[in-house]
Amino acid sequence: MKTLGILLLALTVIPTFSFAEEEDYTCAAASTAERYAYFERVYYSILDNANANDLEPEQLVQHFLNRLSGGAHPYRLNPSSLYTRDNVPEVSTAAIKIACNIVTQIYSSGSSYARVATGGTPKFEPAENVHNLVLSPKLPHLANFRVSAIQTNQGLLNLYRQAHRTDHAPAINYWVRMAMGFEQINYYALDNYNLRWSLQDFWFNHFNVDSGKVTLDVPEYRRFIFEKQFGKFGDMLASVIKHPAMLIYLDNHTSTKVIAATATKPARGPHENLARELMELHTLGTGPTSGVYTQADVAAAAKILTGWGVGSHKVYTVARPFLFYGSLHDASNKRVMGKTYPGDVRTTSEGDELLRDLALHPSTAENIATKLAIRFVSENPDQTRFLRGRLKNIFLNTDGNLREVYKELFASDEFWSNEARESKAKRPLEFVASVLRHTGVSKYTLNTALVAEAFKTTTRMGQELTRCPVPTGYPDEIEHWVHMNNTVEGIRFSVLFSGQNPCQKVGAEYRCIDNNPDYNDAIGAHYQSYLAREADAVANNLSAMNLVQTVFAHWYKFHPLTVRYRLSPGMADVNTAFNQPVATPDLVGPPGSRKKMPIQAMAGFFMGSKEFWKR
Amino acid sequence: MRSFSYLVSIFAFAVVLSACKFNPQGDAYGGPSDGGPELQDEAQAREVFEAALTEVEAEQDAEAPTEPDLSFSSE
Repeated sequence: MKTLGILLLALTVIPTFSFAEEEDYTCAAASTAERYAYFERVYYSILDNANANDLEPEQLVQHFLNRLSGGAHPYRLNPSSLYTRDNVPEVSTAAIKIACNIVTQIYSSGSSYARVATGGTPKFEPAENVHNLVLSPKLPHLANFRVSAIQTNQGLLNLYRQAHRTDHAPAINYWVRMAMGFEQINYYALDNYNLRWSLQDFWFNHFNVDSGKVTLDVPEYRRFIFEKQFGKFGDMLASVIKHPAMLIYLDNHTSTKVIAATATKPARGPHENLARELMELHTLGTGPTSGVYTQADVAAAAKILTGWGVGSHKVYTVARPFLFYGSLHDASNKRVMGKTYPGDVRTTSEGDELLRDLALHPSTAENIATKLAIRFVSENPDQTRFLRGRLKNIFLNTDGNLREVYKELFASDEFWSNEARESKAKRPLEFVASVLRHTGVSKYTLNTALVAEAFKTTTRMGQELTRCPVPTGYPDEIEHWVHMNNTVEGIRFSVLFSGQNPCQKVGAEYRCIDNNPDYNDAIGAHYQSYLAREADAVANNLSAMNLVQTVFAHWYKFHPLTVRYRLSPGMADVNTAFNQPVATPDLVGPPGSRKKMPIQAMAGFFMGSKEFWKR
Repeated sequence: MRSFSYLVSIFAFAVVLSACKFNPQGDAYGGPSDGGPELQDEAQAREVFEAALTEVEAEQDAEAPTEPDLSFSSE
């Protein structure tokens, strides 16, 4: 009894972090010793770097939001409402709020989609339901049930209805791709805890599949990644490699032992695509000439993966399954990187063991550490040399525990260093999301027409969502994304969306569509001053201003008929279907007129500028 | 007593429902899978294998001929 009493007492006094001098700011997420220690580490890392470089709170918040989310938002410039009506925060306050947000995201993320649709984010259909819906056109009662669950996005509802009405596979394929893109844009624009979506984007890119080649399996594939991205890398690898989306994308569903042709069936044999990309891209990160492995290892690994195929949708009406065709599996013993894998035609044990070995290989740890450092910190290898070493060691010492790797990443000096700030560029998805956020979207005002425009814009900019045709995924470096064509497209999109700003000026104050008192007057005024500040910043930067003027002159002179959306090299073939002119927003009136430039145009110019592309 | 009986009945019903939950995929992605006994027979496995391949190819051929209309009604 006494023990029970002590236990109960101990449970009631688990500390909730609070600075004595900042009693208003507590961090409920730092509720255990481990979380408190991590919170403290992030806090001091932010503070030390901010003090060393004399940074303003806004700069800290901007960096935090740009790297971990879709960017700043006028009313919710940070998720913890750091900016209030009359409070200009101190650096230490910003550091507390940011550190607390990171602790929250690191420790509460990584479960199912079902837990995501809370806390002000739109209640979207989980991807598996997208899958169920399009595969079950003959089950209208199921469709009606699912559709009724969509509460906030009427356009997505329309989308499903059209797919059902058509009973037409091409349309359904297209709708599924759009639904995935819509979901991604919505969460990027609206979710205040965005790390999970940034990571899903990172891992989907790492384990890229092209939804143009394998469509119906991709929603579930993305969900698998989402649910495993805070666990062990090996678990995610096994799920991903065995998933029909990956098996079909890299042709492993055709891979068997050597089988001669018969009168009715073609000859079959091992297919090396999956084995090659598994070693070169997904795990080891180097080619067969690097000395880590050889072409013979690729061939042997391909034999290990023979018989790893898929079943039929028609048999398994819910989702296409992974099937192991034991009798079509190569029964010989194989040798990969010096280790022998005994042939087994009864189970997938050979392949499972190969995946485990590859997942924990030192080269894999280095590959993952490098890609995370490039994605979230810097493209300059000199800046992240020591960070990459630490990430690699943590990966190896924790059996590939990704949560521990992320913890080091976001608490590191390198992440918060002055060199890392604004050193990266937004990719198109991040760009459109940041425009949406800057123009003040909320779950009340972000409708499907706007998201559809954002979806088309990412495509025009060369990043059609879920449709990267090459296994390497979309590139991460600045030069692939920030060039004249995308800057023109960015201005067009920004101006268009600035006109959709839900806040309207009425007399001397701003009124917002959702009429939430928290969003009115003072917040609107804050938005106005925020834009004015940013416009000043652009005006003070002559090169940026010159760029804006030059681009605008081109855009206005030739748009909409002659400006074509030339896309980033290598991606043009993916996007030819979108090479359509769009309506020009009426911003400056007919040539020669002196129509006053509205604030939307100013906002559009700012968001289309090269400065705004910085991440 | 009657309330208790109702509770027991509801609990038993829930247990039966859980036990009967249909899950055609099983543990397909998580652990080892033999895909069923029919896949151990080469002739039968080949039939299933080729049928699945044909289905995938049909899906890949079925691409939208033109860009669908992206405008939406606001119901």
